[in-house]
Amino acid sequence: MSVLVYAICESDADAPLCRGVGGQPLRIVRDAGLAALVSDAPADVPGGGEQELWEHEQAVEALMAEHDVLPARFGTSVSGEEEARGLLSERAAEFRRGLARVAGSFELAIRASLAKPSGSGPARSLAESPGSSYMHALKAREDLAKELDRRIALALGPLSRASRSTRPRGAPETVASAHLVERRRLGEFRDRAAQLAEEVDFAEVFCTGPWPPYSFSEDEGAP
Amino acid sequence: MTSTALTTQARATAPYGAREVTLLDLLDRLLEGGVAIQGDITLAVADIDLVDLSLRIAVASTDTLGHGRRRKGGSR
Repeated sequence: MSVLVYAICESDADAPLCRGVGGQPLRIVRDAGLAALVSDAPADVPGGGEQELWEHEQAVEALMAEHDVLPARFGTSVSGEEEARGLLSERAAEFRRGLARVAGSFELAIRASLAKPSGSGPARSLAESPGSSYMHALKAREDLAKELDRRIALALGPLSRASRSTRPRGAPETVASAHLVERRRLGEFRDRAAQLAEEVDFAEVFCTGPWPPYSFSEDEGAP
Repeated sequence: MTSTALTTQARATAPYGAREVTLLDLLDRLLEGGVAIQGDITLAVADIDLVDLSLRIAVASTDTLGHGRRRKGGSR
């Protein structure tokens, strides 16, 4: 029976009482002083996806309520408990580094979308060709996105143990970043994010979380 | 597992910010973040990518994202 992996944590963890993807009971597999939260892979997962995503997230969050966790990417199964134990022992050093990196911290997500260009200016200068005008407009939008990145880093960087800035796929006018924030600074971080949303008048700024540290689980995400 | 329970869960993880934004942040994290494990892809990621895409388009096409928190300019 193949098993889905939800998260890695220290070996003293017990499985949360909630269910995993497809309503499967959760259980803990241990090796090398580490634990993996797993469930049987559901035999028949209907299409759609949102429900399964939340079921995965709910399982990881339940574990995160009591322990530092390294969340697993969604939807990957290994052949069985033996392979899950093998995963823990083979990558034990990497997982320990990861757990040390995220200890006592959560991930906060910032997503900011540029406001639509204002219609007040002339649509384009008569002296410019349509192509040149388009390129100028594009450059202006890119400059705004860079300014947004800068403002976010300036406001929230000092409250984060680590930050990563990303441009989400298929959304060129959106700036997104992930911040690793210590538990004791969560309130301060969210207050500062709300303040930033008020200060920036050329974009909508949103903050969500606390999330499990998805963006800081792998070594390359290390500061 | 009822959809009501999941909606509650969605709210619980979004102290503030629109539900759509929470879902986009969830998608970015679960599909691109986390510990990558060598194994079989057993869940319908192709279907989820479609949800992903349609949501991004929906969000990109609403400049206020359904609530009027944006300050009108002129303060700076």
